Amino acid sequence: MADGGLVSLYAALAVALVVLLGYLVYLHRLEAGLRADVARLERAVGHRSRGPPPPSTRLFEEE
Amino acid sequence: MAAGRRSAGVGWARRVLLVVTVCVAYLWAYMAILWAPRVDNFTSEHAQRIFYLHVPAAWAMYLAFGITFSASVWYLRSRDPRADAVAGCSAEVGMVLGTIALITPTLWAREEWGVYWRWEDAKLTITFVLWLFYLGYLVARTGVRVQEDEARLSAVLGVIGFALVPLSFGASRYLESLHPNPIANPSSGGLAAEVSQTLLVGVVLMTLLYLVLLLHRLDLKQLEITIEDLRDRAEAR
Repeated sequence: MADGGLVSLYAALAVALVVLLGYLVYLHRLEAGLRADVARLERAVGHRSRGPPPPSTRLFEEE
Repeated sequence: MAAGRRSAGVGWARRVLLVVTVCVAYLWAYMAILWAPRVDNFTSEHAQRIFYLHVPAAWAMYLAFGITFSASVWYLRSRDPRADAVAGCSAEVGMVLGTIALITPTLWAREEWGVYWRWEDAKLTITFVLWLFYLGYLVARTGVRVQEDEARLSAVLGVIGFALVPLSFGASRYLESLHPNPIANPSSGGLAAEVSQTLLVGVVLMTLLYLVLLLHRLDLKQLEITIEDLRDRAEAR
């Protein structure tokens, strides 16, 4: 016979996993959308092929 | 060249962080479900183990909102966009961990108290208000379109909202609450060593998880800023 407490414990673990996975899926979809936008806008601006590189907009510089 | 090596080094460090987080997660799962002994104060033998999930998640939520507070103060003093980015991303990750911290103990409460939630309990209600406040904070960040205004409003909210954190943490000590006290009373013998160690591993796990999610969210924030910059340049052409 299943202990009610055991069911609650596994339910709590499942809830935590669902919340976490849900957020990861959201981040994954957001990243895909953002990367598609960057590619589209880069094509529109054409900065890769013309003119000097634009000023950096990086939040955290790696140098 | 040096920037490339540095970038590769950062990528490598992030992968190590992810692997360490996964290893700690396995260790925590073993300790929380199988290894830690029963705590006598509670009636349900298994449901009490939910605390090994709830307490570290609540800790990470407080940490995330604390970082949001610090970054908001940093922004108000310097108007540095990096501070605004850290504040917003940290609040978002804090909401996710706070959701886990709020939902999971309701299942324990059903076993221990016979109900999922007690609105008359100060600790539960204040923590729920804290969660709602940061939900409003995230909505406010997307609602105001002028970037400078958005950042200033968010920073002010980030500072005000943090007042709820010590209230939420200390509620069970100073207000009427059935919630177990977050600080173990040493005069009653404190916690068993295995219980403390399991909680500690849980706290390490949730802190690592917070860092992994925060760094990933900051990467996406960087992409959002790049898009804004590209849009401005496309419009200027």
